[in-house]
Order: sequence, then structure tokens, then C-alpha cells
Amino acid sequence: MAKLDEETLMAYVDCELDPPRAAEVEAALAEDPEARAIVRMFRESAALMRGPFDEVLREPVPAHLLAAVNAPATGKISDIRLARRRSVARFLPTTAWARAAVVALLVGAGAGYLTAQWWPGALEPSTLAASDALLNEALETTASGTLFVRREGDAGVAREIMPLLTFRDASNRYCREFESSLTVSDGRQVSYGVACRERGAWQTQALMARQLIAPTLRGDPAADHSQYAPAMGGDVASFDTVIQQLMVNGPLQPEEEAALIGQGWR
Amino acid sequence: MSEDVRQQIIALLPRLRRFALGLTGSRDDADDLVQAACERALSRLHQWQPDTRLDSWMFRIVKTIWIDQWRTNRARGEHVDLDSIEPPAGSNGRHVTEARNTLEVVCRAMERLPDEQRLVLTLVSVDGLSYEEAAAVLEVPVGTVMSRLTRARRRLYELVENKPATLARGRN
Repeated sequence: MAKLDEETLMAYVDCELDPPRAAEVEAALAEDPEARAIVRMFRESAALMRGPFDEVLREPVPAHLLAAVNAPATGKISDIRLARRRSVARFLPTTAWARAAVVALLVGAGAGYLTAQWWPGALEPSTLAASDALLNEALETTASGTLFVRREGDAGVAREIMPLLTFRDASNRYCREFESSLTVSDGRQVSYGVACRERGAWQTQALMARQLIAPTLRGDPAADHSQYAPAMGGDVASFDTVIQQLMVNGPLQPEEEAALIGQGWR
Repeated sequence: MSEDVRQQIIALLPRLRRFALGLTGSRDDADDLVQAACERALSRLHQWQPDTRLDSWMFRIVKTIWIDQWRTNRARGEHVDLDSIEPPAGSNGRHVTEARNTLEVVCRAMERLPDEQRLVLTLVSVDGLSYEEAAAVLEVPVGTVMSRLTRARRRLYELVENKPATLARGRN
């Protein structure tokens, strides 16, 4: 009989051989001390692995893992959005900023832009226009949950955009939900919206925006100490309706989204 | 249906944690990995075919996420030099015997294995899957499982015992 190869010896140790083959191996082992040493090595290596890890099986499963499995309504957009926000907690850090009470909801492309009063000067409503070139670039090229950042000059002017979700609408357009912020020296405007791709450009379908006042300009430092985690806080909930109405078949998976970005959304 | 699968996933959690611990060598990382896998699985339940094994599917998701993270870490330069054969700390002197079977020594030795060897070793030697079941999780032929596993077991033995294993023998 030919010398037993190492894989056969390991399979013998692991009880992976059928009984006749195992019997052959046993017979051969009797006259092959070198093979017996290899068998010992495989037995010992298996024994090393068995004990220490099994302790985990006897431990109670941490509550947060159970909660992750028991989380209701999997794949719900609010869950996905939450998970993506969590991944970029640094997006729109705002605890030091006061909120100005400009909130607007706009539905329907071309419906004219916000009529509420805007920050005088640098923050123009034009940044919210459907022809917003940076938004277009961000939505065209950036994966959901990833921050797109552009800075201009050294005056602290920055635009940050994060796509949150991608889906298809009933007329088979691709649509994306996003958060955006424009920071200038004395203020910040955050917005949250949905845009759909039509004739090669992303058209804003719905938008909600808010002005934030820079800390140094606050009249009363005690005016607003609210924790301000997502750009729009609870107001975003009203957006779920908009998205549910537009969305067909649920959000796209990251791979589908990556493929679309790679091929220019065709 | 979906509730039933959830219960099955919960029943799998201890095994998933053990598998993830074998891969990551750290309890915290293991639980993060399992949590990410559960979230991914639940968002894709429609992709699981009920006539296939849920455990293999879940292991495959854990594997995929771990490899993605591992590649990311490697790109950041946190890659461990797999060819350095320094013995794990504490593996000389008489403490070896006491420490030998502890999780830490084994985990540290496993960190020195290439990821494909660590995967197969964890599936077969920690979780106790058959070669065929491991091949299904890893989506490779059984022969590949066996060749990776022989190398992984030999290397682990060398690292933990701090001595060369007996002469390698190829196929005849």
C-alpha cells in the first residue's frame, strides 16, 4: 500500500472517511510510525480548538444581539436610515448651534423654492434648487451612507451631502434620499430631501430645510440647548410618507447601488 | 414564516458568536460581527431559500462581512505579517502547559494564519462542521477545504506547541 497522504490522515482523525477506508488506514498506520506521528499532530491540533471556544456557547447571548434579531420590520427605511446615520455620527454635529425656526416642506419638482425667510447674505435658497450642481454630483457618484464633501476657499464654506437611500419609483426612475448641509462663516443650512434622476440629472422632488445660527451669533446663549442629532430630527418622520409613496419594491441593496454608480445609472 | 426564521436565528446566536470569536479573536469584535450579520440577514430574508440550511447561510454572511472588514483593515496597514514565525508570547517556560489551552494563546496563534485557513479551521475544528458542510459555507470544493485545513492545523500546532510539526507529506 502506498504511503498515506496527510489529507487522508487528517480525514481519518476527523472521522471523515467511510468505514472501509478508515479500516485500511488503521491497518496501514500499524506499520507506519511517521504516519502515526502525523495523526497525533492532527488530534492535538483538533483538541486545541475544541475546548476554549465552547465557553461562548454556555454564556448568555448579549441583549443587544437579541434586540438586533428581534428588531421589528426589517428593511424598513427608517431602520436603514438610522443605521447609515449611525455610521457617520460626525455628520452635521450641531449641539453648539441654535436652530432658527425655518422649516419648509416642498413636494413636487419645479414647485418653486422656499418662500420662508432665508439667512441674509451668503445662504441663498439657490443651494436648494433642482439645478444644484454639487447635489447632482454627490447623488451621481456617492454611495449611501458615505459623505460627499466640497470646500471652497478658506472662509469655512463647505458643502456636505450624504445620500441615505436609493430606490426606484413607479415610473422606473432612480430616486435617492439625502441629507445636505451648507456651512458658511456665520451659519449653516441643513436640508433633507428626495431627488429622482430624470434625463441625466437629479431633480429634487421633496425638500425640507432649516437654518442654523452659528454659536457666536446667538442672541441668547440659553435659547436653545436641544440635542440635535440628525439634521432634521423628528421632522424627518413626515418624509417617510413621501418616500413610501414614491418607492416601489423597497430600497436597493448596496451592491445594486454600487453597480448603478459604476455604470452612470443606466 | 419570518417570525419563525427569527427564532431560528436566535437559536443560532451562540454558534454564530463562537464562529465570530474564532475569526476575530476578540469578544467585542465578534459580537459586532454577529450583529452586523444578523442585520444583513434580516434585511435579505427573501434571499434565503427555505429548503437550504439557515446555519450555512448565516455563516456565509458572517464570513463575507469578516472578509470585507479584514480587507479594509489590511488596506489601512493593520495587516499582521503572516510569515513571521515568532512563537506567541508566553509559549516558553513551564507556563506553556497552563496557558496552552487558553483562548488567548489559540486566538493569537490563529491571528497568524491566512484568513482562508482561519475560516476553514474555525468551521471544522471549532464549530464541528463536516468538510462538505464547510465547503458549502465557503463555496469552494471539498478538496480545497482539506488542503487549507491540513496547512492550518499544522501551522497552528507549530505555533501553539512552539515546535515544528512532523515532516509534511504530500499526496501520493
